[in-house]
Amino acid sequence: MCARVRVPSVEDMTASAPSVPGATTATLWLLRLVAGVQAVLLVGQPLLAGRFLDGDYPSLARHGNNGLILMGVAWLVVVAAVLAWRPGRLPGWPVPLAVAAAFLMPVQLGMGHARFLAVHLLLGVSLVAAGVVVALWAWSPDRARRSYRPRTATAQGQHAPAQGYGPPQGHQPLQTHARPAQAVPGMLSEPYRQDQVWYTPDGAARLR
Amino acid sequence: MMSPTRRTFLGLSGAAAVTAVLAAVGSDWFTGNGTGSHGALLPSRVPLPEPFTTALPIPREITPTDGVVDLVARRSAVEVLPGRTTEILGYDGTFPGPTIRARAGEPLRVRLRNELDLDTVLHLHGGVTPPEHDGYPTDVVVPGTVRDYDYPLGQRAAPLWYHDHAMDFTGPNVYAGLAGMALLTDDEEEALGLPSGERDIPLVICDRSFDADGAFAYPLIDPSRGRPGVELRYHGGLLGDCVLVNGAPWPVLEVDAARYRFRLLNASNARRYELALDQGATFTQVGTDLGLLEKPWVRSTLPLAGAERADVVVDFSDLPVGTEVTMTNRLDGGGPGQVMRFRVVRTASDDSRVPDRLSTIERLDPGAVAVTRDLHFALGPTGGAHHGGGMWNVNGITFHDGDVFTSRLGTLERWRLTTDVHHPIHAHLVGFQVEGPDGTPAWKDTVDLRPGDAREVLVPIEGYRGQYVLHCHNLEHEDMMMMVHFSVA
Ligand code: HEM
Ligand SMILES: [Cu+2]
Repeated sequence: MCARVRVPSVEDMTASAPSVPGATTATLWLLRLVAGVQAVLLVGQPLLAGRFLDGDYPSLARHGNNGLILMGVAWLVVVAAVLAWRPGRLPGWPVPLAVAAAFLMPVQLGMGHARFLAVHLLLGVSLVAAGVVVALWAWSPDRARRSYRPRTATAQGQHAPAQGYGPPQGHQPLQTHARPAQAVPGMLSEPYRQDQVWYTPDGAARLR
Repeated sequence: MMSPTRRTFLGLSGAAAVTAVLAAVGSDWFTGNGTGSHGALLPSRVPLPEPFTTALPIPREITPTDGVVDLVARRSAVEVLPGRTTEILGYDGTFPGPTIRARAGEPLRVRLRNELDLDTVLHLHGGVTPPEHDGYPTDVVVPGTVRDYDYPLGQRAAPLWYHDHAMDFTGPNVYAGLAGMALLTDDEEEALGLPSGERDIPLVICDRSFDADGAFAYPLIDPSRGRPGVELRYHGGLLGDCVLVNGAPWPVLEVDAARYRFRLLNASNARRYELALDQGATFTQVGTDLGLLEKPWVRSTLPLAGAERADVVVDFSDLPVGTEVTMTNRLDGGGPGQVMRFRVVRTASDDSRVPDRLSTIERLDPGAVAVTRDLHFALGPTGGAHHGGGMWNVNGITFHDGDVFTSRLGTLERWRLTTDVHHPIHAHLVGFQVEGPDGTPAWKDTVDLRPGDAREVLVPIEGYRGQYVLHCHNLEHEDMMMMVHFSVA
């Protein structure tokens, strides 16, 4: 028998970390699905516009129809982002982003049809970037485990990071902030929200 | 700092996305529709012939008698595809029409009899013509009448062409066959010793698609012509899948091992070509749309957008008998990627030459420009056109909106042309001075603009006073309003 290096198994990891609640994983998968679909459709837009400019006339109609579909999909992303936040208990920042995109999508459609290209291209690039960021964030591995915020035990927000939700290796927790809910608009369903700031060895602060 | 897992994840997802896009859609996603042209392909509904099996037809040549040439526009049934008949609208019932050979500086009268059941208009493309004879789109020759078009031809020797220019229906009319070449010569050109006679051949290149019954397929939105326009899919231009040269599909020409002069014309509605020869043969371009270059220009490929001409010499003299030289279109593959073939069948004597100096072109002084005009060719807002889509336009206006500008006779202008998609731009009456080979000046009447392109041309306002049109020569764009007026005062 040769010597074996013991590689931690999945069981080891989950054993040391309590599993993420079902609501979190379910809502995250919903967000992954709709944000993924939206990102693919969004990335398709410059491609289709480029094909039209390169010569393929029918691509313009496809670009327009795709835009119409996106108008609907953007609202599904809003719903999914809200669900992932509550009850999913994942961060809430995708919500305002998704809402902004959903409101801007018809504007973008109008600008396209009216051929206001300066606005259309600027807004188009921004919408694509925003949609891709949300999708990549949702799809990054371990998203649920890394972002899930446990319900706090007391109204005072006495905080101890739940076991298994520790900082990335090599990072030291420096401080824990507890902020009153009023300071965070749109988060009224919870009395407190904890953000931990981790300092990386190179000194950069990170909000997790 | 990025953790290794995240970096791997981002890398993998990026690679996966690119692979998925590549796999799902094929490589023509990165070259528009893979044709190098704006529009949409209409596939033929009959089997197309094997390329290089039919002989290249040479259109009949006509020279003026007492300054007059007679043309009859009529319907006729011709064999384009082997074993099938195709109904055409043709000058003298042929497609292309007869090649008119005339002399620059000698007035020419073309007497057109319209034996069609449709209105037609005759335009001499590249001709410096008074407005009443220029083929204004609504100045129609109604069925059963005769009309004299008088062309003073006070201009350089040049490979011109003539075609229908009827309002809203130029696309279908030219597609049906109403086009032919008009080659102007003069003493200067004749003295050069370029290949002549049987070795001076017009090559009218166009693409067509065929219906199930062998007819030319053209997707008119209303075949009864109650209203103009094509089906929305082809609003950007109609691309056919069969390349015809002088009306024959992918023909073959038997040539002597000698120099030949070819007058290339792209008579397609929307297709652009980048012509190339194999077996090491090259094009020696001696002239453009509006006549000779200053010196020969050896080119391995030759781009040609709708209505553009190139006057070239191809030298087969070094090729062994039996060699087959194929002319291809590098912008597309399959059928539209093939054009025609030359088969060297015999050795022969050849006293032609291509002199190092062909002509002298007076270089216009940009400092003398009186007016600079910006002309933008683009698709208008959704809802402007009859089918609810956008309307092609120039500076946001169309044919019905009056003059886009008024120029003064005898002045020099600079036009800055810009585009959204491919548009070959053509103005009546005037010529464009552009940069030719090695910075020499060259004369054009049609300039090919690519997507998002910008070109400056110098435009001497010479000829006649009156109202003319300026338009895109993608005929679907032209019919769907990318044509505006300008006046010379
Ligand atoms: C980076 C992203 C985008 C780029 C670069 C882009 C570019 C373009 C371009 C070049 C046109 C054609 C204008 C012309 O005819 O000259 C166009 C039209 C249009 N765009 Fe976009 N676009 C983008 C994203 C979007 C998005 C996200 C939507 C939908 C919400 C959209 C909806 C439209 C519509 C409806 C039209 C008009 C289509 C028609 O005329 O049928 N675009 N766009
Ligand atoms: Cu055009």
